[in-house]
Amino acid sequence: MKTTLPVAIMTVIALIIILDFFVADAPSVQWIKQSGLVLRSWGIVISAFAMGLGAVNLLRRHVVTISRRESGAFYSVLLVGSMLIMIVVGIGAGQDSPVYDFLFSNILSPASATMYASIAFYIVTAAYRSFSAKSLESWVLLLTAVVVMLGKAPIGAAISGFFPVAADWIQNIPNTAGMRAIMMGAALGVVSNAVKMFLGLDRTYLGLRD
Amino acid sequence: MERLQSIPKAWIYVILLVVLAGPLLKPIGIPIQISDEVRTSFNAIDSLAPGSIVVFGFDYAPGSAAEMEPQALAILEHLAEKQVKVIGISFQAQGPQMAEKAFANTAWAEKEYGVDYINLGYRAGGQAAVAAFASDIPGTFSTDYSGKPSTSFPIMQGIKTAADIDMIITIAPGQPGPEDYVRQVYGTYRTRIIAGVPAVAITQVAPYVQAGQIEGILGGLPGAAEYELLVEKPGTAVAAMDAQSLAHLLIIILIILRNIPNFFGAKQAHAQSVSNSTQKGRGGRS
Amino acid sequence: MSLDMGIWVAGLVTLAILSHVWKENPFYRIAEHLYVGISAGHAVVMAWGNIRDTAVKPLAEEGQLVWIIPIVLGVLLYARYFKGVAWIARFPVAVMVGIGTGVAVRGAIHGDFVQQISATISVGSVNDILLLVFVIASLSYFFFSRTIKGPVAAIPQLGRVVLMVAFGAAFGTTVMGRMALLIGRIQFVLGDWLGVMK
Repeated sequence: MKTTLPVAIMTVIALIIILDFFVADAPSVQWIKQSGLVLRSWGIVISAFAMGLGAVNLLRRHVVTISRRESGAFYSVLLVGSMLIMIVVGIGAGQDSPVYDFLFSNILSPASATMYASIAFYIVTAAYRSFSAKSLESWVLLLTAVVVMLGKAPIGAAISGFFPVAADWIQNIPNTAGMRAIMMGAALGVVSNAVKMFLGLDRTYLGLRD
Repeated sequence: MERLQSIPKAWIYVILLVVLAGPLLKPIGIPIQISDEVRTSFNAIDSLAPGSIVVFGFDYAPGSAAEMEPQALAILEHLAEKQVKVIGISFQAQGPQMAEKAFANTAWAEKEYGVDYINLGYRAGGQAAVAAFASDIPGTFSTDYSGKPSTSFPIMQGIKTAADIDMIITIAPGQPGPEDYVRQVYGTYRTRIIAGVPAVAITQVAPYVQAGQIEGILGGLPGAAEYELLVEKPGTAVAAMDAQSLAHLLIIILIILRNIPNFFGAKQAHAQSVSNSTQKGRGGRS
Repeated sequence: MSLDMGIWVAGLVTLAILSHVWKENPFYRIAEHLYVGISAGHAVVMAWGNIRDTAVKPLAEEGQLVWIIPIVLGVLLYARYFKGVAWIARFPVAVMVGIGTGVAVRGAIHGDFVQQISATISVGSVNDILLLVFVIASLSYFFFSRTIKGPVAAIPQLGRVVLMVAFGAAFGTTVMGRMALLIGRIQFVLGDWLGVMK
């Protein structure tokens, strides 16, 4: 009951949604189409509830830090405080209220943009320190990267018309081939994993590790 | 020569900042060539008849906005000029704010909300939400971003499934993104898809483009710059192109410096590189 | 230089986060914690909007009782925080995973497999032939887990080189993307904030 029933529910729901794709518009199978439609809309609601789990986990952790006055409690107060302000203002006054917009535009936006942007520093030092070609394959990788970097920015065409043409060819032929092979392998992986889940051989999604 | 291979980290950071900031303050004006993929996207959007229904996926967040927003703004300017109708949606929680900002900063600000364009907000669930959207648009987005029933707006009349849409344009740095629209929308409804993707994703979406599932892409900031030129509204992307070019040159120079020992005298270089890597503990193979 | 308070806050947040590249420091930690708190709060607000508009409104205003089911399932997700009844959370997880798996399988079969094969085998030019050969070679590199000998071994070897080209291209475009994001920040600091950029 605690394990078999969830696996059965999961399997039936997945099969309905897969079948929905293959059945024709005949009236006798309309229930499959209709069920698929309803289930997908339920998915949105349950996923929305799941989004709250992250906030609850954060709250639990930081409230403990604050109540025990551990080191870093000040930062936890900032985190919990800013989260609660967003929730109260967002749900109470709406997302277009000035306070909500101020926090979103002037703290969340620049912080998030800068977090991603700072990776540029690490990628430059990584390229300088680690990108050392010693085998045929690593030379191929390195030269491809150089041609693509030149061909994809205006500087390449300014040096020689060869670079944009070569970068396009690399992107459209060998890259497409390699990525397609990976993609097809992953697609088979999705299907075989689904079969394992239907058979109850993979139950990690239920938090079981057998 | 050895010095060139042991430039301190802090120096590299400073050099990078100077290389990026320099051309932003004093542009060089390296000419920007329009690539085939951006021209294909432009032509596809240009082929839309006035009144066509375009679903615009604001599937990006502030973290990726530096690359994605210029793409969105340039395409939105083109769409405004083409007199089409735009339904803004988002499968990324911070997307609706991006949509509000984009509509407000383009020619759409002059148009009528609910008649010419609409922001339907965000729906949770990733790929499953994209699937729900494809088969039931008014059901999935039952309200607009402000919570009013979506079917109460003139623009939503007659829109049921993805079959009622002339084109989907998604600006997406990750998932859900163009792959999900291909799998869940194109597969069933054959709706035309144009995708604005970050540079990182150009290589990943290439197979879908070759297969014709995605009609055209804009790749990264250069893609946005080219589109800005095509719609004759040069903006932040065009302004950034000199810095982008010099940044690429800098990386290439650094990689060459690193590999000079591999060019000359493989044996000697190998010994040196091994001793370097044992000293620093990070001279790994690439 | 900007006189807008919002721009100043954004500028200081930018510098605080950027300072982490140099060294972990209190300014970074303040900005980081505010960022995480605001993001989580925003996610809750957006999630509530989804629940309200998709389920609660049709239930309360139009009496569509069917919406009780996903609402109850959603609430049951939180059973995980209560010892003894935590297993109940497996039911909504099973429903979510079922929907996700169903959607993923049908999408992958069609979009990532069947249509990819048909695009590969429709050959009309030299490049199409090359693409076909490269795809077969790359696939063979994945599928031959044993070492093969003889002339056939050249096929997975070619596949390996093709994959290296793909990874090289991916490295090049990754550099391109990361640089663009940093340029965006510099444009903000020099342009919107300090006003020294035209």
